[in-house]
Amino acid sequence: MVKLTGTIALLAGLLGGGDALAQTADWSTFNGDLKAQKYSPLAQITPENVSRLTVAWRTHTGDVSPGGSPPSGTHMRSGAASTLPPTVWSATPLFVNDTLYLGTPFYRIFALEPDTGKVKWTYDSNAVLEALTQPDLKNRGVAYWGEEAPVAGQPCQKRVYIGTMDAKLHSVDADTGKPCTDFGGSGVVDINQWNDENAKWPLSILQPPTVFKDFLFLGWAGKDWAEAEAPPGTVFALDARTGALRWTFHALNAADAARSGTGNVWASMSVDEERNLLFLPVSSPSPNFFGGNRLDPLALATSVTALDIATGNIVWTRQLVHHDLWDLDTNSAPTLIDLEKDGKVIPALVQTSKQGFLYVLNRDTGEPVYPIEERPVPASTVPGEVAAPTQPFVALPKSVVEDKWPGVFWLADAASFGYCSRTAASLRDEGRFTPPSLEGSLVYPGTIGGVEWGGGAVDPKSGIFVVNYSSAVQIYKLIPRADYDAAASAGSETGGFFPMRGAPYGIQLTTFLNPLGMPCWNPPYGSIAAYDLKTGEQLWDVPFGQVQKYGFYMPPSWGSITIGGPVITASGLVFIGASMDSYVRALDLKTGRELWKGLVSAPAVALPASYEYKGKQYVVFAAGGNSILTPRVSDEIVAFALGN
Amino acid sequence: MEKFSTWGARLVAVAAVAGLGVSAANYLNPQSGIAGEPGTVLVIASTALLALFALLMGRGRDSFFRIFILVSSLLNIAGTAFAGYLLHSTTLVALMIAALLGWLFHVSGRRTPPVTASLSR
Repeated sequence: MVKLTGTIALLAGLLGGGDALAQTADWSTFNGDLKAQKYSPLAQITPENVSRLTVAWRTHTGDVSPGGSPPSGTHMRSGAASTLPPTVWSATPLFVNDTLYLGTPFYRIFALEPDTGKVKWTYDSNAVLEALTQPDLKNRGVAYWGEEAPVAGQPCQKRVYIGTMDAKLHSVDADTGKPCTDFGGSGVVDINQWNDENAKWPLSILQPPTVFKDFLFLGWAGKDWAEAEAPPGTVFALDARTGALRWTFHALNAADAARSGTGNVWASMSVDEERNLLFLPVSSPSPNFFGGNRLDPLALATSVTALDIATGNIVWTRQLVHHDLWDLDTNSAPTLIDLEKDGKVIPALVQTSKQGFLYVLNRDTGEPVYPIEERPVPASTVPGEVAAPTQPFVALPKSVVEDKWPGVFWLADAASFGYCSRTAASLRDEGRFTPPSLEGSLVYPGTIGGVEWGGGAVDPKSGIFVVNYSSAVQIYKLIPRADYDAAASAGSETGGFFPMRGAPYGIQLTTFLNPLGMPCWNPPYGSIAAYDLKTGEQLWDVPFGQVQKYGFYMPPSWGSITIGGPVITASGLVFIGASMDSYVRALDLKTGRELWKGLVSAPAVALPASYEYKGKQYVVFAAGGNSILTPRVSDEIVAFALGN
Repeated sequence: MEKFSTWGARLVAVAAVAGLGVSAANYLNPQSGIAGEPGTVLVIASTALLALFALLMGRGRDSFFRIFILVSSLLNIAGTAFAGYLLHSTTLVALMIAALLGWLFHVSGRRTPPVTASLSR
């Protein structure tokens, strides 16, 4: 296969297609490409030889904190606080310009040699290392841009961008790591200069910008569940060279923005380069669990929305949850694929979701490729709240999670002397879209999902779509403001309580566990599934990963909650970390069977990247961890390749 | 046969000490998947205890004490092996199989089976 790859390179070079080939061997964006396909055309590593995969190199950045006092070896800049929030590292490594680029949760950029992991250069944004919006120091990587006609000897013809939690976007030279001073005047643009409505917190740039032509498209992340009135969702289009603002997209109109907020785009975006369309996964509005002060339709909230790239004007939008009361943010870039169906080629996209539905839409129009049906859903019993009477349901492709929660797990119930079944009986449970309530509602799937921000991957040739997902049951209980404030002032407000200040209720949001910490619902807790997008048929659905508690691995049939996503290679492999057990795995695309796994030092809650360098295919994972899964965190980047 | 018994106890001791070393290394090695985990602390403690039991095997005149040590050792070996299985520590499981063999050698090599001795009094 090495020989074949070399032959393709030679042919491409002879035909003047070297750039095209370089693109295919690259992993130059967060999702591998702007279509968010997470697909690599490389085929050196195959189902037959993947068992011979070994560690090619490991590198540690030093940018890690378990929370509190950092351990020895942590990169500490002078003047930094002696204690740090924990780190969450979900950076997709980028391979482009013959270099591997990474952002870290300390908001530094690392440029590494792709075959050894040795550091070429680093750049320190000197960002404030405080939990200004998120509870953790969080980063999902960097973005790359290059001049179409670079001028030799001139700096910043190729650039790398990193955002920070305090809303700064930095631009540096991709070859040297030096700031590009033409960007924002000093190499930095302060995004918070445009935070002019309900500016309760900075617009955190945790997700790297989406880059197309000379545009940087930028969403932001905020502080969930804290405020009723919050910064309203905006997407900024900046000039890649200067950082000048080209246009702004607003998810809420002025009146709604004043009394609500968010509806922001905190995940990655995708681009249809031919149609000049930018696709946005738009999140839910604030306050997240009570909508009495935002009873207008807010049509763009919890939607997938297509914008004209040149102007930012809306081309179409499709709301996926009406009057969202569950924090079901649309949370991943839609995957673009052309589907051959009934003799026609349909320009389609697949939008995964926390609610577990896979929305397959025509990306020209937003109309469903497979039917979406409005079905009646339960009404709210909370004073002041009016839940939407219907919600969109997708029958095909089959939802990754069922409409009803999986039921009480006998082992967790027995171990807690019936706690699980007693609690379940006391909660409001009317299936999907049961609204939050004063007595407590059993919500499935809840804000954990379903499918998280990693989304899915597709093989564009076969139309097979692979997606990992979680099966988690949560309890949403609204607490009247006076009771909530009294509890908070008495100091009894602890984990699981969120104020939603400005709303008539706070919320207690907990995962449905017994007092021993066991999930009260039947496993599996996480799985991975494959679909044939040409027919909508589910091909396979298998438990994925292993729960690890106190170090003990639970049975594989239980699966694991997952954060992160898959990558497909042309040889028929699925590479994925994502599980809480710190293993990274290769699965057979045809069956979902595990073909290989390797241990890394923390859950690899990032998209992996696959690239070819000097004739060798690498698969690289950032093993950073996420406190939602386990307290174990790391600063390790690991590349795997076939042994000699 | 007495020698066989002594060698059995020594095998338990060696397996326990090796298990202690492996578990301590796992606790400290971030690549082990179980570094710093309470479950790893548990097997560190259990292998240390097993090493102590191995030293006490066949010692003491009190048959109750000897039976207690034998039964405790067997439970320790089984529990540590199960914990090792759940921790994905195959080396620890293999060492506990070796410890079990040592325990069996020790018991089968004794002149008077301890249970019989106990009942005969």
